[in-house]
Amino acid sequence: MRSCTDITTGIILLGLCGVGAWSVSNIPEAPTEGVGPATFPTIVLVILAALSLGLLVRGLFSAGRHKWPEAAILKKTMCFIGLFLAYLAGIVYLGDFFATMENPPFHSGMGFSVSTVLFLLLALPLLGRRRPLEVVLVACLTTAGVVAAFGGFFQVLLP
Amino acid sequence: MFEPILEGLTNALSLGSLLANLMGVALGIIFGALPGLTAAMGVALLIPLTFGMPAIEAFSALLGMYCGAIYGGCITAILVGTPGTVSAAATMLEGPSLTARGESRRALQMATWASFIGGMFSALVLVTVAPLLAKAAMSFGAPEYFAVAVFGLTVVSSLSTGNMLKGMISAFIGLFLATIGLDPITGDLRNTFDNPNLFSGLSLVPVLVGLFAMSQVIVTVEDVFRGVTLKGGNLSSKGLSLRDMKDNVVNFLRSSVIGTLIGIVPATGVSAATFMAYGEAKRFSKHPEMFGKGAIDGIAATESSNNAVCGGALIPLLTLGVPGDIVTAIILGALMIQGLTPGPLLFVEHPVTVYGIFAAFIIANVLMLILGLIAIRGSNKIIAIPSGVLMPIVVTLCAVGGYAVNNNMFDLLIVAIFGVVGYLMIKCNIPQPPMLLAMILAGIAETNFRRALSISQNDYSIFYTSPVAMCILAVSLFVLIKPIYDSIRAALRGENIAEE
Repeated sequence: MRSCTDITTGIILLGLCGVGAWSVSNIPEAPTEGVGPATFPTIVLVILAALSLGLLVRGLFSAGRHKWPEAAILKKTMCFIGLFLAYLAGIVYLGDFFATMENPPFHSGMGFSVSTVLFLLLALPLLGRRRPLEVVLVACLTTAGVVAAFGGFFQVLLP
Repeated sequence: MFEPILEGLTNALSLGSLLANLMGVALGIIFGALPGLTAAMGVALLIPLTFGMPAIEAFSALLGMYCGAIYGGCITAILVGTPGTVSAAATMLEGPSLTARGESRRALQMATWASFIGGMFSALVLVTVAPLLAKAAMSFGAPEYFAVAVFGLTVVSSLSTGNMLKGMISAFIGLFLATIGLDPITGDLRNTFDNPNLFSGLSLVPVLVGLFAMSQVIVTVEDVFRGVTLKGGNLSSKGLSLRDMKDNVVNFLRSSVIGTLIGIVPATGVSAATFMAYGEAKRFSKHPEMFGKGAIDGIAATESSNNAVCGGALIPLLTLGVPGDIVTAIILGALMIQGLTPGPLLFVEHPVTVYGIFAAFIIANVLMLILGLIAIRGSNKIIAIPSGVLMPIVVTLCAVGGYAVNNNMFDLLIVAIFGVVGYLMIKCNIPQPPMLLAMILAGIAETNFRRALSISQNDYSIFYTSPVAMCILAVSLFVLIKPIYDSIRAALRGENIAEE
């Protein structure tokens, strides 16, 4: 009886503790004897490594609890996560693209608006909304609403 | 003395604050009512909207959202038997039976009045107890503050989901993440991997948005893919009578006391308060056999206790800087974004803001009553909004919310990372609240730990020669050891039973 989730989590955390230890080793030493800038992160890392080891050992001997969805649902969820990451990347790259244009159609918010409309046009059908009119209306109205609220009312300089 | 109280009250009653409070309560009721949207998500998404506002306006919106969302959870619990928020889980024990009996309007009206009474009772305790506690905490020095931070962390780690090991792992990850950026005392750069975006540390808002809003969206999306949908419940015509209210006066009071006290103890959780209040209402009821079959007293108990938790949870937050629950942990982040450091000094340095927050909380409860009674009429339509439409819209709010505070593209990466990490944490059963709380409390813990050692010239006895610090650290140790002791005892008992 073992928990693969706990074992994997324990191994990943131990790996991250290793990265953290390398990073902490680059922190300058305390000028005088006693507590310096590296002391607190070192204590935290040592305890975290011990706890991760505890999780790994516990995972070897007990089933543990986890809430992973069925394969088909997980596949669709990963698609949604991929779409979300592409959306954020779209905001960054389209924002840069419009910012470097000589005569951009709007002063700000073009990258955000285009990415948001595209994201909603793809995400809504993925989540089961099949009526094209509903999808287009939600995509356009949401984008207009968010841009008006943040860009207009709250004066946020959207990318 | 009365000048800051009056000024705070005037600020909380200004048009801007009232509109912010109204918006917060209205959005809160919607966030609370819809499964998949949580109070923590609502407050996290509201912070980017409020950071440019004056402090009292900002807290009017946030506290409105907090009260509205805790109340709103009862709508779905009563009408369709699915709690909108965790706080309404106990309401489900009676709500669906009352709806089946054709008394859904009566149940919803009772829930609204009970939430109002619980909220107002806790507001009264907040206004009277918080200044006294802050006065007592004025004598706290570095060792005591370090002990308070340790206490907050241990309580959250051990009680968050009943899984102490994973709770502590979450807290220690948060503590390490908080060390990214400038050292608070020497100003040295730590754990930045030479990335200039990390020199000032991880920005709290994108972390909040990713961890509590985006991750929850992904979890809800799974339900959409499974085809889980809610249909609007039936709203009956039979309403609440004056007799119902009169019969529950003691019940309201008892449940409000339970809720407020549990709220004051950090991280004990709203659900603990509601189930305890429900149990006590059943114990003292003249008709305990009716409980579970649609007893209106059960709704009165659970709903007055869960809203009473709100005011209780604000007491340790404002006086000691230790949040009582996850939403107040996010509100703690909002206080810091506004440049306010919670703790006893807040009462000395910003008394107008403190009294403004008190007034805003009372106003939020009044608005919750008014909007709640109005919302009952359209409640069956609110809960019928499909998650398939809502979730992509929330994603766009997460993106703009994460970006808006610093206008920094790097923050979008933080939203993405913490959104995915938060989702994986939910799947691996690792609680997220300890990580956030640790990120917030790490500064207090580390600074005071080092300051105390600097005062004592590296003599660790400073932590146990201060009686207050020693008491708090002893309670923290007890909180840590108790679950371990309980699980060993349970395991041994299990073995004995197996042998027999």
